[in-house]
Amino acid sequence: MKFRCDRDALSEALQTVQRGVSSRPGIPALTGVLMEASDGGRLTLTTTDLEVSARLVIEVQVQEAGIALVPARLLGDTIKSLSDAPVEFEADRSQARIRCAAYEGSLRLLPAEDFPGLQDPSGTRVSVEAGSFSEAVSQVGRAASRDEARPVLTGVLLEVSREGVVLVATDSYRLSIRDLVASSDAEAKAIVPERALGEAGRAAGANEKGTVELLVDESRVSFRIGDLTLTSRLIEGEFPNYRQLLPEGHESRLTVSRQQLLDAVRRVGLLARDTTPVRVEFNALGARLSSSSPDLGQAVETVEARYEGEDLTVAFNPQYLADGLTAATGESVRLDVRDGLKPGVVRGDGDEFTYLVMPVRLPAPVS
Amino acid sequence: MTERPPEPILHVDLDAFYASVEVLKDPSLAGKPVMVGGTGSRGVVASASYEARKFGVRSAMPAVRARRLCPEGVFLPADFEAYRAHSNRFREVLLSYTPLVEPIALDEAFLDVAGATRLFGSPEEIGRRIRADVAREVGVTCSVGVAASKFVAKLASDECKPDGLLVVPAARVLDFLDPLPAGRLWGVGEKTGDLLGRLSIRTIGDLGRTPEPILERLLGEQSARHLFELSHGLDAREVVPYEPPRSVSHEETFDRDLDEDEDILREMLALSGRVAARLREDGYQARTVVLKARLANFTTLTRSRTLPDATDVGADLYHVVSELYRALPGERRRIRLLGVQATGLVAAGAEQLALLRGERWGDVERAVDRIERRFGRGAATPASLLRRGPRG
Repeated sequence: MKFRCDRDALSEALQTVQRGVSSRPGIPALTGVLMEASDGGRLTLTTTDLEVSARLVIEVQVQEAGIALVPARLLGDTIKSLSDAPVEFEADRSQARIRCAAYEGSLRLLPAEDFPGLQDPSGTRVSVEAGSFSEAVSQVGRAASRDEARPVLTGVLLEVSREGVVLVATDSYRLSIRDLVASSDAEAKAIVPERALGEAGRAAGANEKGTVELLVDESRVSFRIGDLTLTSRLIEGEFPNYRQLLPEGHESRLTVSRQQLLDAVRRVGLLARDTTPVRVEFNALGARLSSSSPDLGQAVETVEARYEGEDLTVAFNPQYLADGLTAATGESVRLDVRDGLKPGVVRGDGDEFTYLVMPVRLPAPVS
Repeated sequence: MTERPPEPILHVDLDAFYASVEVLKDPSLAGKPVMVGGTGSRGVVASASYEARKFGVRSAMPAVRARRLCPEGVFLPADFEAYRAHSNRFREVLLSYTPLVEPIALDEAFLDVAGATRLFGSPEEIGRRIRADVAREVGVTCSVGVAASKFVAKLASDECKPDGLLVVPAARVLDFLDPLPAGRLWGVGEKTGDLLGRLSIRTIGDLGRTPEPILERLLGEQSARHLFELSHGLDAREVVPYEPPRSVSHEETFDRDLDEDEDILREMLALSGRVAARLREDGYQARTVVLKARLANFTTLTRSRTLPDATDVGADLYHVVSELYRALPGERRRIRLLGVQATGLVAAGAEQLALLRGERWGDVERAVDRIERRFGRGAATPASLLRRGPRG
């Protein structure tokens, strides 16, 4: 195979297909990027770690169609370091030659026949706006668990209906739900590893005006974003029934400037520790946040706001609360609370995003 | 290092604590004479509100007398669960100023704030802040004595009760002590008071002016020395912060040796449950679980295991001890004594609650705690322990 292309385009493409794919040194073929040049002037780059795979098509001047499996990291570093001039790439059965300006190098190839054959899933087809998909992914991703002991919670649930997609993530301490307008030809449910979904979200963010096409089957999901296709295996198992965790109605509601509350939670949270969370006292003035650690010091801040409900004190892990306030969008947020033992519910300006956060039980709740 | 302030000791005492908590629980009692304890015919008053004290009621007074003095008074049974909960809040407030907190009772404690002045201001300022924090966080007023020593701080808080703050400057200790009744000194009870009265020693000042040899003849060398020093304001005792226990254990020796695994495991379940209940009551979690088994031939075997996460759940303890038991050498052991010990204790701090049920057993056991507090021990019990018959 032989092609000629712009250095920047190739470099960027190589970085894109390497991101999100973990290197598995144990299997040499998986450290490579599969390059396929076809007569239509298309170069297809593919990487995989068997869980996630990325495929990107770019336009190049193909002089001779063909296929080569090239060590991805080395190739990426090489192309990135080249001077800004056209790149000529040529490969035979055993090695690839790269020429650019005065540079000339050769890389030994990996056996292309060892590279796993990848097929796109064929199943439910969903189409969503790239901008809102990217926003939704970044809103819910934080709540996914990092604890591999419960694999299901390390993923994000995609619940596809005819009207749209619901994205849900929980690490059992908080729960994020985002409704997304989408068009779909069927219903489907899939638990996508957070890492893979995050990668799709980032790619969609770089292509905000476009659309994301999802294909979901029993075991895999793929995201087509422009010329990039990301495919991920799904996590097997039953996602918790999140609907039954949602409180019905609300008893006490704080309506507050999102930024003000977020800033106060972060500031006061600096003096909080695992055993001494941030206490939030809700009263007619708004919310009074306080934290104290015997060996560090203490902090108090009152955020004036509208509060409807009984005077209450609820303690939260400040990071969890801040995550919810960051993920909600808009000028103001609504924070619904019930008592010191029931989840607080954060919503932004609209109703499409909901964030539940469980309180911290203080050592001796007054009965 | 900042210099040690001359009056670094605080004595903080909640005002009419039990009675005040009862008023918090039922605000309609506010302004009424409330007495806790003495609901039976032979009890004594454990705590009386200041309204009740106007009638002459004092704590430790027999209830019969209190009723005569204050017939319209409200007498309530003690609710230690609520007092303990408020007391924990109280202690949290104190610990937010210094780790040097020596609890004396649910409602009083000494603090040494010498190391906290840079962060929070003078001892007097800290006293003021504590009073405000306690009023807000606990909902009960308190009195604070600030002095150079523990006993003067204690007398100072007594003097400014209720809802007050009194600083006794180190240089003015003798002036402060002089007019106070000698009976206010620690170690002066009714009997010593009578002896002193015979010599017309009525105030602490009188005591201080009495030559030591005379006191010695009257009270013996040790008591004389002690009272002489106190009356001169000398008290070198330091504030000793509370030391957590090192372990919690329960063991049981059986009337007849146990040789059926089923019986042995059942006893271990019961012991694990009791250890866990105790841990929860005292607010601890254990990292290490120890099984002790004494065989019929008096050989004692102990085995232990350290857990990845500390626990206060009986089912977790049982899980470990039953595995340790099964791993013991030999078969058909005859067991004379079994013990379960929880050690590597850590304070059960605030606990992040979960949306999804992961710690079901912990929740169940906490519910059982509440049932037992209300209906007595054994009111709710694992089914496998039901046929075990009553045991100590």
